[in-house]
Amino acid sequence: MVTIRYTLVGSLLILIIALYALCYYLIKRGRFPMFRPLPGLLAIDECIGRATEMGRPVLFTAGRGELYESGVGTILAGFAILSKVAEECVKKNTELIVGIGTAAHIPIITSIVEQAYLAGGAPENFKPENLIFQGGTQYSQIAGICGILENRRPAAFIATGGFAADVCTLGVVARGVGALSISGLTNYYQFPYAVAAYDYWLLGEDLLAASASITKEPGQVANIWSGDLFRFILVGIIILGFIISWLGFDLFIKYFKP
Amino acid sequence: MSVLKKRELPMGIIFIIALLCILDYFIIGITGLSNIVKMIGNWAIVISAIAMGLGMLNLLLVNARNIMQRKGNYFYSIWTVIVMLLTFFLAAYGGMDYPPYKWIFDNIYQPTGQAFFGLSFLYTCAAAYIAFRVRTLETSMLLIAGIIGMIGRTPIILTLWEGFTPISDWITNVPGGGTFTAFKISIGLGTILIGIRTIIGIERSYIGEEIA
Repeated sequence: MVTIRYTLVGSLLILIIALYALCYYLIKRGRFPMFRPLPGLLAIDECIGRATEMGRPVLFTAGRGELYESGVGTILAGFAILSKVAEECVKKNTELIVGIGTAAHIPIITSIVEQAYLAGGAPENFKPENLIFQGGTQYSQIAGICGILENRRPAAFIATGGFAADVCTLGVVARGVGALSISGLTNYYQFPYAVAAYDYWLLGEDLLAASASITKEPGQVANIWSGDLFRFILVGIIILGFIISWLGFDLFIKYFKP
Repeated sequence: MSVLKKRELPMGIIFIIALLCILDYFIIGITGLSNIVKMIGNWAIVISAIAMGLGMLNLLLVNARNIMQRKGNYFYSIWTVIVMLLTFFLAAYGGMDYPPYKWIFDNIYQPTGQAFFGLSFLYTCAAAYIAFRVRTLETSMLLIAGIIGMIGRTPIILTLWEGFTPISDWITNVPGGGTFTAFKISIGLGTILIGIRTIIGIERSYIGEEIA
C-alpha cells in the first residue's frame, strides 16, 4: 500500500511538472496570465516611500527557521521580499535595518543586501552593522526587534518569513511606535494575529508567490500558473474522493491517508 | 569564475542535493542513496551549528561598534557582550551540565523566556482590541464570531445557557476548520512550487541576485 501511495504522490508531482512545461510553452507563445495584485506587496513601495519622506529607517526581518527544515519555502519567500525591499531602499537612499533570527541566515542576508547596494551603485552606503543577529530563539528575537523598534523608531516594519506567536507582539509594538507594518507568513495559526496587528499582510500562498509576482519572469509566472491549474485538479480529486467515500468505497481514504 | 561562484555553483549544488533527496524519498531500497542523503542531512545540521559561531561574531562586532562609538544605550551592549562571552566560556569549559552554566540557563534564561511569553498575552489582547473595532462587515463578523467563541468557553456564562458551547464549537470546527484545511492545501502546494522554482534555478533571490 505504501508503494501505491508513493506512486500516486509521485504521479501528482510529475503532473505539476508537466503542467509547468505546458504553461511555460504558452507564455513563450504570448499567452500571459493575469496576476491578481497583492496589496501586501504593493504596500512595500508605500512603506519605503514613507520611511524616505520621514527620514527614518526601514526594519525588516525574515523570522526564524533552519534551511534544512520543511518551512524553508517560507524563508526563501522572505528572502525574495528582502531582495525587493533592499533594492527599493537603495534606490530611495533609505536606511535598512535587518533583524536576523537564525544564524544560518547571516551569510544569505548579507549577500542579498550587499548585492542590492552594489547593483544600485551605492556600495558605500552598505552598513554591515545594520544586519543584526538576534540570538536564534523566539524570545531573543522579540527582545531584539522590540529594542530596535523602540530605539530607532523605524517608519516601516516588514516581517515576512518564519514566525510563531511573536508575530502578534512585534506587530503591536510596531504599531505603538507608529511604523507602517507588513506581515507575511505561512503559519496559519498566527494568521488572525497578523491580520489584527499589521497594516498589510501576505498570507499563505500570497507570500510564496510573491517573488513571481514581483519579477513577472516567464519561468516564475509559469510556475504559479501551473500551480493554479493543479489546484483545480486537486479540487476535482477532493470532490471525486468525497463522492466515492459517500458511496461507501474506502479507496481514497486507504491510499491517500498519511 | 566569479559568475560561476556566485550563481551557477550554488545552484548546481542545490539541484544535485535536491535531486538526491527526491530520489531517496520515492525510490525505496537503495541503501547507498539513503546513506548519502542521511550524510547530507548531517552536514546541514553541522553547517547550521557552525553558523552559530558566525552569529556570535556578528553580535560581537555590532555591540563592539556600539561601545566604541558610545552610541545611545551602549551600556546594554557591554552587558550583552559580557553575558554572551561568560555563557559561552562556561559551557565550553564544563559542558551543558556544568552547574554555573546550568544556573544561568535555569534561573535567568528560562524565566526571561517565560516572562516574554507572559507579555505576549497582553499584546494578544491589544491585537484583539484592534481587530474587534467594528468598521466593516468583515470586522463585524469577526467580532460576533469572537464573542461567541469566548462566551462558549467562559464557565460563568455557560451556567446561564450551555447552548453557547456547541455554537462556538461549530464555528471553530466547521467554518474555521474548513478555512484552515484550505490554507493547509494551498500552503503545501505553494511550498512544492517554490521548491520546484528553487531546484530548477528560477528562484534566485536567495543568492543575492536582483529580482526586479
